[in-house]
Amino acid sequence: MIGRPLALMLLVVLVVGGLAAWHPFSPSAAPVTAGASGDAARGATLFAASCAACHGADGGGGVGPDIAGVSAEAALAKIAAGGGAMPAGLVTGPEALDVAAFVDALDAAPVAATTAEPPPATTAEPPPATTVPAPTGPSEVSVKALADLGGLLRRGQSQVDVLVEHTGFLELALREDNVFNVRFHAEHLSNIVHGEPVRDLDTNGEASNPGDGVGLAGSEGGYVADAEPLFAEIAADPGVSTADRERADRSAATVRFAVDRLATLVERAERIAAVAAAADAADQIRLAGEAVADVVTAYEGMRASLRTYGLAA
Amino acid sequence: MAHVPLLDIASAYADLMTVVFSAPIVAKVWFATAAVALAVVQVSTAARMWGRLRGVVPLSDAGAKRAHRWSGRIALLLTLPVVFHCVAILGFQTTDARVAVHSVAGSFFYGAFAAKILIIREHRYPAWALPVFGGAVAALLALLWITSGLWYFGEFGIGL
Ligand code: HEC
Repeated sequence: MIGRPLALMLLVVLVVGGLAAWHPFSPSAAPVTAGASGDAARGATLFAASCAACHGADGGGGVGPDIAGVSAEAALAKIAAGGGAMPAGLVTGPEALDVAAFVDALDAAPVAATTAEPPPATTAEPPPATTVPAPTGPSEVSVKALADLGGLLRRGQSQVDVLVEHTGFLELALREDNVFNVRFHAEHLSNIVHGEPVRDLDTNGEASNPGDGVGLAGSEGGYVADAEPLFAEIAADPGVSTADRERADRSAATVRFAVDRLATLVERAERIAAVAAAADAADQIRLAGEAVADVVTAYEGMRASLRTYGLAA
Repeated sequence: MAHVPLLDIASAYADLMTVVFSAPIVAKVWFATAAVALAVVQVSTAARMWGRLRGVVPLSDAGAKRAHRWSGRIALLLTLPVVFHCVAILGFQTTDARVAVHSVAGSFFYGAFAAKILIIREHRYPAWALPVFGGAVAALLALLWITSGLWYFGEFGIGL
């Protein structure tokens, strides 16, 4: 009777549903491996022209956050989507790929510089003014763990900075009595901490994340959480001096403290993301701010302590 | 590489929408709201064409027909940016009940619309078919708006 209209309807439903399942223009769904395809050298020029004003010539940060540890994929998504003060689509097409490749390459050089901070393992001098070195000397595992920690915490710094920045946005939104932004920035705090998979806490239909997706302490670890096993490795190495082992032990405890405060932060953020009025979130925002301050202190302490190891000497 | 121009499209869309509105989602809400307002015109002029609501809709038969056609065309145009954002950028999602209902209803909307147009064009279907499919299109649009525009205004207030 009405077979033709029903058949047409079914066809159109399948087409629209199929498109929706595919959603080809989703910035985060684009499976681009820019590192393989962009040209970092061309990207350097473009970066200087379009990005350096906000992120610094070496990506170390300014108006915008430190982007030295950001992957090509994350950079590409950010370039396309923009966010905060950063306009979307500053560079596009192949140029975006080149810039992303340049951003991707940024972490290599500075991280190497950081890991070179402790004296090289080959020099046989005793550690400066600490206890007597254990006779066997530190194992390669500890030396590598310390170097890895340098790189890890350096890359994580940009995420800590983004976290601090968004805590500021959250407080601003509270002052402006803007419940939309209060919820939105609370979602961001949680997603910066947890990384992928990101959640749509404010239920605006988009799970967004200004962070790099690695996060600080999520289900897959993160820059903070991943530090604990590395510190534990040093603390358990019988070849490492007692002073360094104690240092590593304290740092492992600091990591646990920071992870605990990050969990508190996420809990607060979840509640903030569900408030009906901005003012309802005031207490939770204060507590979230305290948690972030604790995380920043702990993180700074961990990074500073890395320089004090006599381990590799 | 094929993905890069696609990324451009998403950010070009966001740029275009934020010329007037504070965010793409706000643009979407207002386009949808305008389409729903026109859907009210659609339903009342359709009723008038079927000889109902003579007292409420002060239009001649020809006037009602013209109003129905043009409000329908404009409403359909207004849904295009909305469906682009929903379907091509956000995609089918089932985060919670509201989003899931919205996604399913959205998938059916153009299907129901296409069927309704076919029924008008080919004069060989039972008399109930047109009001049923026309009503379904209007009902789906209302459901879509309740699970998006109305929800948005309730959560975040009415603003540009
Ligand atoms: C007008 C200043 C400005 C310019 C120009 C700018 N950015 Fe940004 N950028 C920011 C701000 C502010 C943020 C943080 C915004 C946010 O978190 O949503 C940011 C964030 C980012 C991030 C995410 C950082 C992170 O750790 O998650 C990346 C990647 C980035 N920018 C890359 C670029 C690139 C590449 C360019 C050049 C094409 C660029 N930016 C140009 C201001 C700018």
